[in-house]
Parts: sequence; C-alpha cells; structure tokens
Amino acid sequence: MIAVVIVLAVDVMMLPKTYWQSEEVRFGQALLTFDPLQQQPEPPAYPLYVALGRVLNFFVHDPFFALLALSVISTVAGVVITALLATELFGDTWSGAAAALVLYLSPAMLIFGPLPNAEAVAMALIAAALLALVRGNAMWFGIFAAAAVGALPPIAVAMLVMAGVAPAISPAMRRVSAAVIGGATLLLCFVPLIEAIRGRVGYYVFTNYAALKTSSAAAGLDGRELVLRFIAHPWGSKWLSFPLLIAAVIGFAMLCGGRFLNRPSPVEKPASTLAAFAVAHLLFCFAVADRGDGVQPVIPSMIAVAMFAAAALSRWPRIAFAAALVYGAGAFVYAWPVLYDRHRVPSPPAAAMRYARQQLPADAMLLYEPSLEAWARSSRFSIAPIRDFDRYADQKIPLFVLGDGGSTMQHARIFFWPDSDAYGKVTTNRYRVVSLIPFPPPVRYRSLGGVYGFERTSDEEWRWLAGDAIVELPRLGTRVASVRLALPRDAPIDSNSVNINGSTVTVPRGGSISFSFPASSILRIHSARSFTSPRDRRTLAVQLLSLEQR
Amino acid sequence: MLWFSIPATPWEFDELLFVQSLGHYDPISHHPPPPGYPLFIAAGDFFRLFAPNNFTALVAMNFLASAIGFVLLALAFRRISGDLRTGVAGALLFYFSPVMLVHSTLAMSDPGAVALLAATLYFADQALLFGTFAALTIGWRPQFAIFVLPLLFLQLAMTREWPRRAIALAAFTVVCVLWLIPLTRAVGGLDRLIHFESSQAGYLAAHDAAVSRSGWSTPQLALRFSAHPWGTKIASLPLLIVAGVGVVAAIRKRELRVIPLAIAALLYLGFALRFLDPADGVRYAIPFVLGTAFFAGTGLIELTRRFNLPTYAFVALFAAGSIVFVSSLVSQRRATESPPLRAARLGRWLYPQNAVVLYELPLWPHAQVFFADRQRLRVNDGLAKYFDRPDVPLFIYADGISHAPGSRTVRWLPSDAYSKLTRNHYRVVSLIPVPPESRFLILRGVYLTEREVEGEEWRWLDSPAELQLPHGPARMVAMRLGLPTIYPMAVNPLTIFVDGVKERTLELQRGKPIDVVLSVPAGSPVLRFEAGRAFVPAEVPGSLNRDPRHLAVKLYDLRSTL
Repeated sequence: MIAVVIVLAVDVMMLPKTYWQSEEVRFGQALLTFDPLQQQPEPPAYPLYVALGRVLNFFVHDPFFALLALSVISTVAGVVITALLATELFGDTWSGAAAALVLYLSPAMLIFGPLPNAEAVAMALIAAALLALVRGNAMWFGIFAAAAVGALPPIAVAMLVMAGVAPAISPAMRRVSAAVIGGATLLLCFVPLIEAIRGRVGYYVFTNYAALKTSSAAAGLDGRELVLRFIAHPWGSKWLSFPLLIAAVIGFAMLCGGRFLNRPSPVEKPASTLAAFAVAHLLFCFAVADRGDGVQPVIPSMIAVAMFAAAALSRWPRIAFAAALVYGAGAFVYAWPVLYDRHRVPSPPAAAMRYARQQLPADAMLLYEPSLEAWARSSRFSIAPIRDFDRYADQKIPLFVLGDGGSTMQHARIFFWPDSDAYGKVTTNRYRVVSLIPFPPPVRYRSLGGVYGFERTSDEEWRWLAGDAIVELPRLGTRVASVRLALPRDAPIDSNSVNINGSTVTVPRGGSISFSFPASSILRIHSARSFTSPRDRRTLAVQLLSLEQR
Repeated sequence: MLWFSIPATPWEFDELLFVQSLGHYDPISHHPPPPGYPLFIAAGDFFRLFAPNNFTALVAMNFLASAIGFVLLALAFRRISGDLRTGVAGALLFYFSPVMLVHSTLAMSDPGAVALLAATLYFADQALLFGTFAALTIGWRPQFAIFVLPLLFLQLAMTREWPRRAIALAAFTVVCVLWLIPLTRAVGGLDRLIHFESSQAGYLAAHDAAVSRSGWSTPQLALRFSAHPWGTKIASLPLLIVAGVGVVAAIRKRELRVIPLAIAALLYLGFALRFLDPADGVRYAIPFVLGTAFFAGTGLIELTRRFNLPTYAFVALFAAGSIVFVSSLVSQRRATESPPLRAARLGRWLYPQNAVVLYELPLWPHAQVFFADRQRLRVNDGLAKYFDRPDVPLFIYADGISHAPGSRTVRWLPSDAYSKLTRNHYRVVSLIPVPPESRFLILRGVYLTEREVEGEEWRWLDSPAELQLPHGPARMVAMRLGLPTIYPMAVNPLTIFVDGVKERTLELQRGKPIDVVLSVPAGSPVLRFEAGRAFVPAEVPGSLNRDPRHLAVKLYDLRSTL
C-alpha cells in the first residue's frame, strides 16, 4: 500500500503537460485513426495498447488524457502485481514492496512510466504473467503473456523463451491450455492489426525493419556504450546503478546459485525463468532494438533486475524496503530535471507547434526532420520532409524548417528544455531542443550534387559537402552571395582549402569562416581534401553552415 | 455507456430534419422526412416541453428510450427463450453492437422504435398490449412495418384463441388509426397522404433499390446488412457463428416462440437486401440485428453451458471490442461539433451577410438550420441566378474535400467505424469560394459537382454540353478536363466550341487529365463541348454501376483570367 501511494503520488505530481516524443503523438492519433501503414501508431503497432486507449477514450474523449489515465492506472496495477509477485517469491510483503519501489522509482520508469506510451501497460501485464506463472495458473499466464505481447510486441521473443522454460506449466495438458488461450488472445490482438494493414504483413515487417536498422545505425552506439546504455543507464547515474546492479547479482546468486552449495532455493525455478526472460529480452534489444531510443527498449527486462536486487536483502525485509526508498529518492533526484520541466512547461516540439499555429502564415510550408514527422502531420500546414528542401528553392511560399535541434539561422525560434545527465542517458536525447527556422528566398538554394542532408546538434546545423559540390541559387537579382563553412574538431584533416567559383579560402579544423563572392546562379564548390566518414562511409570535405544572397 | 455516446451537436441528414419538425410538423416540406413519423415527432414535442432546444429534446428522449429499451428487450428475449440469462446476454449483445453504440443516442427515430419493438415482443402473449405496441412501433418509425407486420400476423397465427386474435387486431387497428389521423391532416387529406407515401415508395424504388446500389455486388450487400452492424470481421464473424449455433439450438429444442421473431427478421433482411439503400444499410439493418442478437444470446448460452465457460466474460469481450471499434467516431462526435456545424460557423465568420450559400444536396437540411438567416440555394440554382452578378459573393457548402484556391475544410479524423457504420457523409465539409471568374451558367449537359471525401472533385459533362460565361471583356479560360482511370474507353476526342466556332480538339486519355487554355471574346460567350462518345454507366457490360446518366468527360476546374 505504501509503495502504491508513493509511486502514484510521484506519477500524478509529475504527469507530463503535453505530448513529448513522436511515438506519443502517433499513439494519440492512432486512437482516432488506426492506420499502421501511415505509422499510426509507429511499428510494431502495439495493437492491445491502442485498443485499451480507445476504450478509455470512448469515455474521456481526449486521446492525450486517455493515454495518460491508462498509464497511471497501469502503473498502480503494476506496482501491486509486482509487489505481489515479489511477496510470492520472497515470502514477505516488505520485500515485495521493495521490489516494486526499486522498479517503479527507477529513472527509466519514472521518465517513461507516466507517458502516453505502452511501457506502463506492458510492465503491468508482464508482472501479471509472471505472477500467474509463479502461482501455477496456466490459463491466466497464457492470457497475460499474450496480452503483454499485444501491448508491446518487441517482448514476444523473451515471452516465448519464458513460456518455453516455465516450470510451472510443465504438465502437458496445462501447457496446451496456456498455449491455446494465449494463441486466442494473440489472435484477438493481432487480427485487427493485420486487417488494418490489409494483410500486407511481409511488406509491413520488412519496410519497418529496414527503417529500424537505418535509425539504429544513425544512433551510432556500439560496444561498451551500448552495454552501459541498456544495462546501467536505466537505473540512473553510476552511484545509483552500480550498487543496485551489484545487489541484483548477489540476489541472483542467492536465488539461482544455491544448488552449487547444495542449498537450492525454493524459488530457484521461477527466478531462473525470470532471468531467462530478462536475458532473452536484453539479447533481443542488443540485436534489434533502435539504439537511438535511449533505455526505453530494455525496460521490460528491468523487472528481473528489480526482483533480484530486492532478493539480495530479502533476509532483512524492512532494511530492503528502506534501501529501496533510499534508492528511489536518489533516482527521483536524478530524474528530477526531466520530470520537472516535462510537468511544468510544454515539451519543445509542442511549444514549437503552438508557436507555429499562432504566428506562421496559413499558407506556410513546413519542412520537418524525420523525428518530428508526427508533430508536423498534426498541424494544419502543408508539410514535406526536409530532404525536399531543394525543391522549394525558387518557390514563393513562406518556407519553415521544423528542426530537432538548435539553429544559428537568423530569426530562428528555439524551444528547449535545459540539458541534464538524465535527459542524455535515459531518454532518446531527441526533442530537447526544437527549432522553427524561417527560410526566406535569399537563404534558399538547390543542390545539384555533392551536398548532403541537414544535420543538427542542440546548438547548430550544417550540411556536409563532398569534395566537389554544385549549388544553384534562385534568381533574386542580388550581387553578392556569402557562405559560412566549417570543419569540426574531430575531422581527420587539419584544414581544407575550398574554392567557390574561383575564390579560394582555407577552413581550419575546429573553426568556421565566412566569406563573400559575386552572386551567380551556379556555385561550383571544390575542396582540396576530403575524407571518408567511418560511420556511414560518406566522402566529406567541409561543412556548409549557411549560404545567403545579399 | 449511453451517456458517453451522446452527440454534442446534430450531424446526420435526418437528424436536422427531425430537429426542424418539432413544433412545425409538416411532412410535405420534409419536416420530418417521409413517411412521416407521427408518434416520434409527437413524443419529441412532449420532451421539448422540458428541454432547452429541439436537438436536446430528441437526444434526451432517445437516451431514455434506449435505457428502457434494454430492459424491455432483455425481458422480451427472456419470454421467447424462457431463460433470463439468454435475455440479458442477447440484449447486451444488441445494445453493445457497434451499430447501436453509434445510433442509440442520435436524434433519429430508431432508438424509440427499437424500444417499442422490444415492448411488442415482450407483450406478445397479451393481446391488447401486443396489438397496441405493434401499432405504436409502426407509428413511431413506419419503416419498421416491414418487420412488425409479419411478426404480428405470425404471432396471431400461432395464437389459438380467436378472441385474443380479435383483440390484438382491434387494438392494432385503433392505434394505427389514431396516429394516421394527425399524419393525414398534416399532409392535407387522405388523397394527399396516399400520394405522399406512394411518391416515397417511388423514390425508394428509383433510388434505394436501384441507383444507390451502384458498385454493390450481392455478397457485398449481404455483408453490409448482416455483418457490418457488428463491426470488424474479428467481432462479426464469431458473433454470426454463435448466432448460427443459437438457431440450431432453437430448432433442436423446438422452441415455437422463436418462429415469429426469426421469420420477421429474415423477411426484413430479404426486403433490405432487395430494396433498401446500402449506404444506410447498417442503420436500416437494426431490426435484423435485433433478431441476430437473440440467436447470438441463445448460442452463447448454449456454448458456454456446454463447455463450462463464463457467459458474461464473452459478452464483456464483445462489448469491449465494439467500444474499441466505435471509439474514434463516438469520442469525436461527443467532444467536438460536427463538421457541418463547424464549417457553418466558419462560413458565417468568413463571408459577409449578403453572401449566398450554395449548398450541396447532402447538406440541404444543415444549410436550412445553420444558415437560416442567409440566402441559400442549390449549387446550380445559385449559379443560374448569380453567375453574372459579381457584386454578390457566393460560396459552396460542400460535403467532402475541395482543393480549390481559398477553400477551407473542417473534418473529423477517419476511422474504419465511420466508413462501415455510417453513410460516410459529413466527415469532411468544405467551404469553397466561387469568385466571378469561376462562375458559369449551365445550359445543357453539365451535371452536378461530385467529390470524394478526401480526393478529387469534378463535374461530368454529357455530349454535347454547354455552359455560358458571365459578361466580361475578352479573356482567357483555363480548364482541366479528363477521363477517370475507370472509364470504358481508353481515348475520347473532345471538341470545344466558343460561341459556335470550333476552337480546339483534344484527345483525352484515360487517367490523364489535361489543362486547356482558350481565349474567348468579350461578352457572355457560350462554351460547347462535343465528345466523340458518351456512355451510360448502367449499360456498361459487367458493370455493377446503376447510374443512368449519359457521361462523356470530366470537367475538373474552370476559371477565366484577363
């Protein structure tokens, strides 16, 4: 009860003010138009989560509020069920409450739990499936396991592994009944999805898998960074995560390693099943999950770590509870910058779209960056992806770019939340800074070759140029064009000599340089040196920061 | 559940006509639409005494009718099956069906008629009440006669005592006469009533039973009337299977009480498949849905008893599925004004008081109510009157999208439920300015504007077709002409004459619209279009289209510039 009150209070006090991540916007849109082929919701479509959201929206008539309510209800249910599960395993309610607190007060759950997304629902259903498994109830295990997959399809592999090694359903008939009822539940969840994608399952899976690989590659995380991201970061900074992970290892050893000391634990089988689930899901995430999604993909596996961490102190249940409270307080402080801003002010994308609604002309064209597509689609403006930037070089319509990151362009409006360690480590690290950038005709241009797409950090934007690039300027009757070029600090060359229509300038590493030259409809930009990017194999020479006719 | 599905504003065509009927019962002016609905309007007038406006009165009445209807239906099903659980399960399945979740609180006649039909079924053993409620049902919604009359006669045929038959028939006749009198008076006498109702029957034969079935194959019609009211395949297919089990169970148990309901439902379905408009199919299927719900309840009880499963868990699962299905439509309808009303508010704000509203036919009642203080005309009538009056602003109040310059569109977001459960009108409504340079007078062969909900807009031209431009100096006329992708000929030559002089000949190709610019002389020139061939869609071999018009080419856009 205490755990429920604490978690509920924190959740309700820290509810987000607006949608924040694109997937949330897509979930909200899916409550009204379920169209997975148009990324409503984003793949893999989360059919049961959308269905539950639609049930609530029938009563509240506001998709955002309906999804928030669903998350809060699921969080409360999840805390209770997780506590019951731990109590069942450790035989003490204090230990049960400790496990629930560790899980639900972790930075990952504090940040992702109360959002309008599928995590809270899935965690409650996973806990319910585990509880049914521990209690040996095959029918309910089948229902909850399948429902969890329906709410969060990426856990399907881990759930299958768990079902495969689950000891509680070993008698043949019960295993069959769990499989039958689980299969029926899966059908109920996924047939509407198959109907919505008009039976094009292969196309849907293949195209979205290809998009996922592209996105993961762009995130650029690998090796040690990825291990830290998926195993340590969900639990907060190293001062929080390392003690907790050590406790989890001890707990795991106590529960599953007793047989090596000829003292097997009575809950060894359920504990090893839980571990199998977590390991399977982590391996799945390492292999497939979007590495740009922060710690969000691994959240389902956290239930096992929380259980094992509580197990470490299960001989002293009240101490376990106190330790969980201390950990929870630390995690709350760690996540506070994200939670506070999210609760207090609209998210940067929401603020940008609100500003656009109020200030931009009705006939404006909005070019969106891929991560902000859902936001752009929810607006009343004509929209196009930013890769179409070049098409609008000589059109008269007001042109704006909705950028996920900062901008140094004149008159750009920047919407941001302050940076924090939690934002960088726990979240996708997108949407913290969003820019609405006007592109009047003098700063537009068309690439005829050798100009890569826009890239952006929280401070600035650029387009990489290849060794030879050709740019066409719209005819505005101007005499002078000016350009700003840069070479980043981590470039493998110390400087580059760049020639534009006969004028030459040297761009030093770690610096930028502006220079003007007579305007001409075609700019031929030749760089003396170029290099191959190790990440994406592009041939790069120099960064184009801005180009303007005067 | 009913509370949460109450609509915020009027939305459908008939709702607006019913709303206008309260206090002004005038069936000849389509207030209400044929066939007259005398009892429904009378009851609405009574509720109006306690409600702030006509719409609220009708919605409140239907809310109450649906609540009472549920109880009566459960009792009726219990009487027929002899089992309360069957009654409750059947009534729950019926009122949680997607079609009822959407329609049970609209300002329409269906919810009250269903409640009265449930009472008829419940009182089938009490001759006086049976006859009375049967007559009340028809007086409330005359279309239900197709269900009620077979039910009445079958029930009477199964009654062995002549006095009871006589009492039921007498009660039925007296009550029918009681509601026929005000209807007869309202239309101006018996002869006019016969003319009024027969003209409606004529419309039914010409429209619902013919043109409106364009593109519908027989299996699609069967699905429309029997499966769509139950939602998606994953809900409707199991439910219809369970209803089949219910039919088998009833036959095996030789339950004679089931016969009138079953035969009435089947006859109604047969009539619907042959004569009723499939666009309205889901709502028109409600009496058949009621019969199906009874058998589904029977089948569910049979199956859950046999396999020792919880009956109401399946009912709850079905109800949840229905809610998921209709949630988008119902939540938007509850939380926001309907697109016709929002568009009308926008139109009143955007256009001056002297602007003339040119409404498309589906928005006729909406224009009557929402633009009551403005001059309003059908599109072609308005063009005929004002095409040469540049001082009078015109705008089209259109059911669907428009890409015309300056047009404004309001919409509800699409959903599977909207397309399956409704007529698919009014989700997208546009306001389209008609500036002087886009106006013309139709002389011959230019049909009404047609538009897709979220796609193109066009006018079909016959061959020959003629239109006249307003007075003005010599100018250029830009047109977009073409043949749709589904068209019986690959190529059709088109010759355009200006004031009788051959100006241009084009080779129009299927699916490739082209832009044409012509110079026209000063004055009010007449453009004449002569196509190589025209066709009648209804006569195209193998086509399901019932459209009897002569069509040649599509005119997508026309505007003149100096």
